[in-house]
Amino acid sequence: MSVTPIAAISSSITPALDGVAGATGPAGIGPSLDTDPLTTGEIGASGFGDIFTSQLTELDATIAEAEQLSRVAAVGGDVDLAELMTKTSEAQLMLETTVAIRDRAVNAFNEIMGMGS
Amino acid sequence: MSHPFKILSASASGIGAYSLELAAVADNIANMNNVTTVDSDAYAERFVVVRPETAGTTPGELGTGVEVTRAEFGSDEGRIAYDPSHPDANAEGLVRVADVNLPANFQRMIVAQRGLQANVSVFARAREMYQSILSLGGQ
Repeated sequence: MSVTPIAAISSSITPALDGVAGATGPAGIGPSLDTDPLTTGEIGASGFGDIFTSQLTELDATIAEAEQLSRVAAVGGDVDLAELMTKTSEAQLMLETTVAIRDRAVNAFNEIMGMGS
Repeated sequence: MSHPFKILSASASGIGAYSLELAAVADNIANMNNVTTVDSDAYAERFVVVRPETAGTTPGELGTGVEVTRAEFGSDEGRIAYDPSHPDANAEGLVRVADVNLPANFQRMIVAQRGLQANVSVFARAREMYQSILSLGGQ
């Protein structure tokens, strides 16, 4: 079964985040717009699974970073409190993003599975 | 690493820079009455030097926040005072005391405090914004 519809969902999520962050600017030059599978919606080497896996990897790294900071802070180490709070906030947001993507993907899958009934 | 939450990291860098500025002011005020011998250096005021942490120079391109480049020292000249009872006083009863500008440091403190609060506001607003994006078309 092709997962093209799911890729379409994921491709609409990430540019929305980038656009709001103002990353592209007036010139409208995003990070490699032509080749990015997220914007072209092409399923090749980077299918939804690969994209989601890289998202998970990044999430893991961010949470590990926040966790390391909290660990040092908990034992009374030399940690900038502002850095700790901002890093944990970022980790939390990234977790929420990943969960949102997963929910949409599962929803789409369930939608497809329900077509027969 | 490409940063998915650019507003958060930009205002986080602002929070860091302003808290460093507050730390410098705290250091200055803590040391403002230091007394040393005439021959040694007086306490030098601390200054924090920042610059924009830009990724590129293309017009219209947004940066990624502020970057603390270095902490500068002010003059270690101090001023000479007459205090013959002080253990560090020389034969003429002179000592060198720190010349910290207290009003200027209070001004820096107020600016830093307000700047930090502004950055915290931006951070909180950006956080809300990202969360409402996540609820787009939500269930």
